[in-house]
Amino acid sequence: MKHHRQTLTLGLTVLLSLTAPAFAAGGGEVGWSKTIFHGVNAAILFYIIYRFFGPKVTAGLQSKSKQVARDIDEATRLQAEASARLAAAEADLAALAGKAEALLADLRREGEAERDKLVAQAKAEAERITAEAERTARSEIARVKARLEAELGEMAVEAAARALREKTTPADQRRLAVEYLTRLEERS
Amino acid sequence: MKSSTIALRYSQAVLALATDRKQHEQIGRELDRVAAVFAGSDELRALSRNPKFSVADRKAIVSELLKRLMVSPITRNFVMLITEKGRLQHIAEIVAAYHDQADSQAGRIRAQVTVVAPLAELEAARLRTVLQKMTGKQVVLEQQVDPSIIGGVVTRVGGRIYDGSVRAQLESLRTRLRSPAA
Repeated sequence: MKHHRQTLTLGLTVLLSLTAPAFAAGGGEVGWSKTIFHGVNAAILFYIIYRFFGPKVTAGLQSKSKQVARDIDEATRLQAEASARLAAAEADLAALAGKAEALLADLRREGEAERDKLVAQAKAEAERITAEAERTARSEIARVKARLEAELGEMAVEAAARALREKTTPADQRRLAVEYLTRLEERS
Repeated sequence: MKSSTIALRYSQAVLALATDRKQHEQIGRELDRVAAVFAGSDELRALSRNPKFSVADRKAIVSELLKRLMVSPITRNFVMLITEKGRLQHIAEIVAAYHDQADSQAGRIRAQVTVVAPLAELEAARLRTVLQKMTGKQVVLEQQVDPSIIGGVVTRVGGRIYDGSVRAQLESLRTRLRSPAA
């Protein structure tokens, strides 16, 4: 039905296009014979066209219409697919953003853990070095103190020996001998 | 004092001879004099050791020395014998061994007493008495003056040392001051 209407519209259009020059050539005076002649010619032409080319035109138009419908369907499908892909891409993007954020959070957490570990190690090492330094310092102080005490002792003994050599009198020597003998007698 | 085999062998021989002649005390004193002369002379010590001197040279010099010291024939012959045998460098050791054996034979013991100044007779007698009591033997004191002990007395007798010197007390003080607990 639709095709018939289209064919009819086409025929009328051809007919009017063919009769219009005849009407114009008349200079405004109506030449009915020419008009009729042209009308008949147009009708014959229309018939010929309709008769021989109509089905083909109709088939072509139908084929074109189907093709357009298929194209529309295809476009709709492609649009749906594209929409689906877009949605998937957006979902992927959202998921990716989430993953990136999780990855960043993991990296941040690992970095913080590593930093804490390094800080703890550095602190332990610093404490060890400090303790070692304190131990070394204590040892060195004790060594120096012992050396100084030994030197002082040595000096004191030397001074005492010098003073005794200079100041011991024969009476002192005799008293020392008597004390020695007394101790020896006590032991015997 | 621990004597070497050489010193023991020679000292035993001369002591036996001197004892037989009842001259062991005199011989002991003469040997002391000979040993003292050698101890005090670098030349004589060199004579006894230096191989440049022949036995005849040594004997000539020692003979002259003994003549001057006016020793008895036993002492003379003994010293000449050890000169001939090349044992003159052991004279001090031989004499010490002689005294050890003579003292042992007589039930005596020698005590080396080191002092800064010789002990007065009273203190020496006290020391002799106390040492006799401690050793159970007759004690012969041999005093040696050594200022390095600073003061007091050091006695060596029968392998034991009784050190009452000021030097020993200072050493003890030095040791205490060196020890970590001081």
